Formats: sequence, structure tokens, C-alpha cells
Amino acid sequence: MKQISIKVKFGALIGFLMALVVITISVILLNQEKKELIKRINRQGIILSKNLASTGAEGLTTSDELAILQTIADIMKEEGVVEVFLLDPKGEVLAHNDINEIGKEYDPKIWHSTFQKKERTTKPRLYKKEGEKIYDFSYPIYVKTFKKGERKEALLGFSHVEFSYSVIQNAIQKATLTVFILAFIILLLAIGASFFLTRLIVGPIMTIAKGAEEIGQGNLKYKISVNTKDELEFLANQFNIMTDQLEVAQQAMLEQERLKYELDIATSIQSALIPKEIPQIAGISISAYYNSAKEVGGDYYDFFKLDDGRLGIVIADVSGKGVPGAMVMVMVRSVLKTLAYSTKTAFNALISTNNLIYQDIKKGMFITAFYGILDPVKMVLQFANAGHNQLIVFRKGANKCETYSEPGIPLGIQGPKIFEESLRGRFLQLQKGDLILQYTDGITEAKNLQGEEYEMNRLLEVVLKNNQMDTDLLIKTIIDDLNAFCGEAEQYDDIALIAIRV
Amino acid sequence: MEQPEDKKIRIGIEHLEENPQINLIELVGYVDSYNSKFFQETIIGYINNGDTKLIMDCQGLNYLSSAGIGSFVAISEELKGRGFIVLYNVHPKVLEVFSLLGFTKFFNICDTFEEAFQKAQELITDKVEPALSEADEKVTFPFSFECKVCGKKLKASKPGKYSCPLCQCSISIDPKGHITYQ
Repeated sequence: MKQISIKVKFGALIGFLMALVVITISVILLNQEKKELIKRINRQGIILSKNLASTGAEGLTTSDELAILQTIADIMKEEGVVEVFLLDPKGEVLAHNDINEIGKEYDPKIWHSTFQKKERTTKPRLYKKEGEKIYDFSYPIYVKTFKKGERKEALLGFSHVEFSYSVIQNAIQKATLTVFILAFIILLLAIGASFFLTRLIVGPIMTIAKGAEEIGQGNLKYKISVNTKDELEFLANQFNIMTDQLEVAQQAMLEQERLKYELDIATSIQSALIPKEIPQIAGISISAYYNSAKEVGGDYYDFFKLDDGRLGIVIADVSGKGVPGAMVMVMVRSVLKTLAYSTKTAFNALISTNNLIYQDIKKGMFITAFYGILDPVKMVLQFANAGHNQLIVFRKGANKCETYSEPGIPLGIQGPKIFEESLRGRFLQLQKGDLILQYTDGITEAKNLQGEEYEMNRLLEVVLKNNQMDTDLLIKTIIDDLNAFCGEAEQYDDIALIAIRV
Repeated sequence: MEQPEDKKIRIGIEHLEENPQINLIELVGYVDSYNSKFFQETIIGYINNGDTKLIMDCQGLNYLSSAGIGSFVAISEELKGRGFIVLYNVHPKVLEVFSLLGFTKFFNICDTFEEAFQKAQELITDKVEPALSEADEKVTFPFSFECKVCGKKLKASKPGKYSCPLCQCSISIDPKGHITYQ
């Protein structure tokens, strides 16, 4: 759609309005002028014809033709007068500005049609002569006579002064021309003024519009400068305030996006760490469950077959969130797994792991870890626990659940000496049918809507009750019970759960 | 009182009349992963300000997550060599978190204010870093102990090199009763 600038619209509108005003005024004025001119001619006509009448009265009675002719000549000099003459009551031309007309007979019915005998008045008469409009002004000529001793007034004739309408026409034309020239000048001035005026307004608007374009391109530091000390300056200032707020909002949004992005990366790093497959070992049934919370918390579990047929079992919980937490998890997993192949005991594997990583971990961050090595032939589980949850063992023979919490501080906090000092390993002899369970505190610390925690006892109950179940089913049952307990409450921590039946 | 925009933990600090060197910090609220950074930075701010001898009243601390523990660890790292922190009136639940992670030995945790104050005085005069040094075991032979690696109960009649029957790790016992594992 073609855009017509405000300047043009405004200019055209104002120009048009001004022209309309000027033309209307001039039409009215011209009309007034015309009326005035006609009135003037009327007055003049009457005065002149009266004048001629009185001169005529004297001249006719004294037979002073010269005086009459002089007066006629004088009247002819008046602007617009085209004919001057005297007629007697029968219509005979007694005197005329054109000598040749004297003695002619003019039709009194036409010429004296407006004469009222009683009132002794005449009226101006408009007629056409050779296409031209003529005003005829006449006046009766009365003289006083003595007849038979009586004072009487006799009508000698009529004076006639003829005015041409062209006088009026010319005057009107001249005035019209003047008015139109004036109107045109005013029109130009109006258009010019409106252009200037709109520029005063449109100028700042364009400044603001250009500013908006600049800001729209992303330059949120741009400040629009309008100093017209009016509403437009106010608009520009509001704009600038809005831009500032936009900038703040943008920063906040970028920060949020960055955080979300980071979390997404961390989540994908984390999910890559969870084993895709559970190792198969004859006679051993292994199941695992993992569910990450909204905020990446950093749990992981791991299984790996050691060279000699033993199974390494790891479950760990990193204290930091987001990408830093995920990176630490990767490091711990790699280091522990590698060292597991070259150390004979879980005890030593954890100590060596801590030695390698403790200097690289940020102050305040730590990893709790359970590392167990299951010998499927000897049915021995050896393990060490660096600050992680208690191990649950269901003894088939006794039909009871036992828990083992060996001391140990988390990885990454202290140096080799103190870490080793605090750590204790354990060798457990298992019987066929026994169950081993490890988990992260996403289970025991899961809260319901009332704020109660699931806690260890509930977990032990479920295990005891369902100890005959296949490990997959047992895990499912535990998770179902956990979800039933939590209900609608949101989960804030990762959940990892491992169940092994020997 | 540091409390910008309701961080859900209120931290108040004041000098103790009984001993102006010591500062009493009162905690009300909880420390979780959302405000642990704020909590940590606030306390470390005090430490950098010169308040390095701290007693902390944890009566009002009703919950501590593992991230919160992390803050305490960072705080005690910061205090190494400069001062100490003694906690008292710790909720059982919070205490549980400390012990689960094996930290009870590394933090000075007392039951009452009087105990905490006394401990603080000791620490000022002793200038001993709390519980971060090795315990000295004075033993007499024969003595019983547990193999650190596998937990097997063992008895040693004299110093020397042994092999644990269960886990096969080598154990050296020196005349003082110091045990090293290999």
C-alpha cells in the first residue's frame, strides 16, 4: 500500500481548508461589495437625476439651454453614466447629451411607467440596451406657476440619468481578481506554514521512529533524543525508559536461557553416563532404576565386569548441580572405573580415586559413593562407602533385612591421609537367594505434600514384604510405593536404585 | 541482618558479651541448594571481615540439604588456620545429615551454648585445628583391631607384617601400634 506522508496529507488538508475559507469570505465580501456598489449607484442616480431636474426646472423656465447642457455635460463625466436627457411629459426629448436626439419622441409609457402622479415619485428602472444592462434614474420636474391668481405646480417633464451596469461589473471583476490573487497567496502561505508545522511534529516522530528501528535491530543502549519540550519529548523519554526495561528483561531472559541450556547439556551428559545395558552374570539377577529430577542433581550408577569375573557396582551422588556437577560426575566415573581394574579392593579403589580427584574439585563440592565388588563364585560382596547411604542386605535364611553403614567421608573433600583415616571397608559373605540393595537419597528423602520423608523404614518394609519378587518387579514395587507416598508432591532429587539377587 | 529478597535463611551476627573476640551467629530457616551460595558467601564475608571465631546457634535451622553441607565444608575450609566454628543446638535431623556424610568428626558440634562457649575458649587458647589431625593410637600388644579393608576382626600379638586372611591385604604394625595397610 502506497504511503502518503503526513506532511502531504496535512499540507493538502490545511491548504484546502484555507482556500475554502478564503473563497467563502471573498464570495461573501464580493457580494457585499456588489450590493454596496448598486446602492451607491442608486444614491448617485437619484441625486444626479434630482440635480438635473432642478437645473432643468430653472433652465426650462428661463430658457437657459446652456445651463442645462452644462449640467448634462457635467453629469456625463460621472463614472458609469452613459446617457443624460430631459423629456417632456409626452416623451419629447427636450435636452440630451447627444444633440441629434433632441426633438425625438421617446415612448412615455416605457420611460415614465414608474411615475406615481400623486406621490410625485419615480423608481429606478432596469432595462437592456444592445445587450447591456442600464439603470434609468428619473425625476419629475415641477415648476411653480401663477394661473388665474392661483399658485399651482406644473409638471414640465422628467430628468433621466442612465447608468451602465458595466461599472458594477468592472468593479466586481477588479475586486474578484484582487481577492483571487490574495487567496492564492494565502493558499501558498498556508501550505508552506502547514508543511513547516507538520515538520515540527513529524520531525520528532521520525526521530522516534528511527530510534525504534535502531532499537528493534537489537541496539538496546540507543537513546532517543527529542528536546521539543512537549508531548513528543515525553513520548521519547517513555520510549527510552521502556528500552531500559527491555534491556533488563532481555538480560534476565538470556540468563534463564543460558541456565536452561546448561541444564540441558548437563542432563544429556548425565544420561550418557548411565549404563545402557546391565551385565549378565550366570546365577545373578541384577536390576536398576534411574530417574532424574528437574534440576540436574548428579546421581549415577555403574556396573562393570572386572577381569576376574567379579562385578563392580557403583552408585554415587554429586553435591553440585548443573554442568559443574555433571562434569565432576564424569570425572569420578572415569577415574573410579579405571582404578577399579587395577586395585584389588573397593577400599583401595576409593582411596586412589580420592587421591586423584580431591585437588580438582571446587571447595564445598563433594561426591558420596558406594563401591562394591561382587564375587559371584565365592558369593562375597566387598564394599566401601564414602559417605553414601547404608547398604541394605536381605538375608534369605533369616528372612530379615540388615543395613550396613561403614564409616567414610565423601570423595573430594579431604586429602589422602584424612580420607583413608576415615574410610572402612567390609567383606560380606552372602548366601544364595540373598538380596543386595543400594540407592541414592532421592528415595529416602523424598517428601510428600505434608513434608514427611519416605525414610529408610518404609523402604525396608517394602523390601521385606516383597523379597521373593524378581529384582525387576521388586524395583518396580518400591518405586510404585514411593510414588504412592509422594502423591502430587514434586520430586527435587534424582532417584537411583539397584537391586541384586545372588 | 542479611536478608535480601527473602533468601529463606536469616543470619544474625553479634559479638559475645562474655568474650568479644567470639561472634555468635544465629540461623533461622533452612539451607538448600537454592540459598546455599548466599549462605556460604554471607558467612565467608563475616570471616573476611575479621570475625573468624564463630559459635553458631542452629536452633532455628530446621533443614540442611547436601548442598547446605557443602557450604559448611567450604566455610570450615575458609577458617583453616584463621579460626574455627562451633555448632550447637543442632536438630537431630540435621545432625543425621552430618553423620551420614561422615562429617561429625570434622565439625565441632556441641549440645548447649555453655558447652559451645567452653569449646570456643579452648580452641582460642589451643589454636588447634578442630578434629582434622590424626588420632594418636597408643596401644599395648596383643591388641585387637578390625581390618580396615574388609572389616575382619584381627588380633596382633606383636609388631610386624601380616596378611589379612579375608581380603589378603598386607598389614604392617609398628611398635607404637600404628597400622598401615597396603
